[in-house]
Amino acid sequence: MAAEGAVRMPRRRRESKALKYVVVALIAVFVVAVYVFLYAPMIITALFSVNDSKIQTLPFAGFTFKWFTALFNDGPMKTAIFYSLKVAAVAVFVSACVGLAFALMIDRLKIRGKAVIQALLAAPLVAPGLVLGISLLVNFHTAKIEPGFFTIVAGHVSFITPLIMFILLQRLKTADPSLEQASMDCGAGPLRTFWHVTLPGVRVPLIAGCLLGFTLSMDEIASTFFLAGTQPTLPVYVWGLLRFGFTPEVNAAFTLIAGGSLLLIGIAGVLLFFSARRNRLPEETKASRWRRRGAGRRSAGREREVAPNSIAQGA
Amino acid sequence: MAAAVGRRLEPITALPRRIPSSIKKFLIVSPALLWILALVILPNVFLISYSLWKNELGSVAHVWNFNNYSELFASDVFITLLKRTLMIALVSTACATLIAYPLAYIVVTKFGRYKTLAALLIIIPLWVSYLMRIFAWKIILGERGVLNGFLESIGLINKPSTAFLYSTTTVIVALTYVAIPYVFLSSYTSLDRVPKHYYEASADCGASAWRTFRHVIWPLTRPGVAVGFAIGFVLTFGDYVTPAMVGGLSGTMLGSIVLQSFGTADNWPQGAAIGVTIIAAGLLVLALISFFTRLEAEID
Repeated sequence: MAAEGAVRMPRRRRESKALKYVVVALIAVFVVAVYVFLYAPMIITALFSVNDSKIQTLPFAGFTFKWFTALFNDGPMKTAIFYSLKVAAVAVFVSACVGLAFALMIDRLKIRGKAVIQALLAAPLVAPGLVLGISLLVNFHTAKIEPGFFTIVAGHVSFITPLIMFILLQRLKTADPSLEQASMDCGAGPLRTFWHVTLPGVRVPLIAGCLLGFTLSMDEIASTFFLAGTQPTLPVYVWGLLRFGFTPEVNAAFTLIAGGSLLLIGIAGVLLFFSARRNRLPEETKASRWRRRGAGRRSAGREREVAPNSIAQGA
Repeated sequence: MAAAVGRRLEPITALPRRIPSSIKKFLIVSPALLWILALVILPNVFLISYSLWKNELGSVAHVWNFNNYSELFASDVFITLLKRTLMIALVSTACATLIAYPLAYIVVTKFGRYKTLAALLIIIPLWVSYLMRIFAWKIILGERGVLNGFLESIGLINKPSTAFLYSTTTVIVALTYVAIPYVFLSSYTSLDRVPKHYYEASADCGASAWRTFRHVIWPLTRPGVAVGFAIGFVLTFGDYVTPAMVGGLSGTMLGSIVLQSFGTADNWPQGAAIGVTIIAAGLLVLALISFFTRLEAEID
């Protein structure tokens, strides 16, 4: 830190070197301990999914793939996996369309109460799954909709949509509005501008958001449990297995799903990282862009006379 | 002409120019309002209605009164569970905060260009199946689990201990584990927003690292920590998966009875009343936290 820099304070000089090493060592131990705490459960599940024993304890019995083979021969488990994939695919598709629409609406529209709308849209994302599950359950029950595929998808859509929306809003904040204006200047209508300018501009965060949403949907248990009806998704099915004794097959299923999830969020992370880097405007450009936006808002009347596209469109 | 300008500035929101702009805006917002109505407002309205209705042998009679609540708060079981749930949620979120905030501080100040990577590694577990992460604790802490096996093999204990699993402490450990990434995310974001030169200026004025933290960094980042704490509290308070997996009888929480009410007990009004209690507790904590941690100085 800066204290080690040019100005050395007397107080710091009194600290002995040994003490400093101890502090650094303690910090390192703390950091490593937290990471171990966070990752140990996952690593242990993965290890036991290839452990050749029905009893899950140390020492390891030997390496085997039999739990994975058992998994692929287990009919109900496979049905549950495919059902989960179907739910996730539909939920993510709907959330992507709606999330994009809402993100554009919130970014473009100047209205009062926008913060309230955002907060209400985000509510299912931050509410505990239990609350989301029972509130949607009574909602659908009142509307005479039986729990099933539709209700699960609706539950998942309710929290994946705000997720995708907020990821897109981050990107739209740094998007250059002059691109769309240029497109309109060239005579493209709103739809063509959307398809050829707006959509390619948010494509990468949209894909990343979809991948993140997909993993969330595959893993969701708390609200899905209430909305599932008779046919279980994978987490709901596994939950049932775990309560009535289980086989290490569950570890294999978890490991596969977790591996898939990590792969997807890895891709999402890389996409978001490079997209953020490519789209980061130089400071100067950003400043001038804000000035332009501000000018547009303050003196729309004056701009009307000089803006070429308004002349073109008025004609 | 005005519509043309409006269209130029907001191309996506273009509609025929005859319609006045306020109605136009309302039309554009209306799908979002409908969405909020269907998925946020109505579910909660119905949840509250159910909590005020009467349960008659598994079906619901539409008689409005507060009996569900008065019965709940008169019942010792409910009061015990409510206290225990509050205690578990507060303790585990506090532990998570005590771990996540110092970690975020270390990551932001010491990790340099690797801080984003370090932060991502903390948050990634959120995307790994919740069930899997909790279940793994059962493998670790169980009677024939990894911890017992390990302790036995190094000779610290001579027969497997059952003390690790199925207790309040187990639930607290597992929920601390669950809450860490959320609190970290919020703390990290607020710490990362403090400009580097604040640290330098404070040190140049002769403050030690501790004084800088105490008088500059902590006041600026306290709201972020509070938000993280609130999110952690709300999520742990309403949990039922963790108590069911690792809690046993002494780790039962409010969420577990909600599950029963909507499942085997088939008493939806009671479950709804507990659900509303959970929401109310969450909102109360949010309100308290936002009341006590208003931002004193805005970071530019």
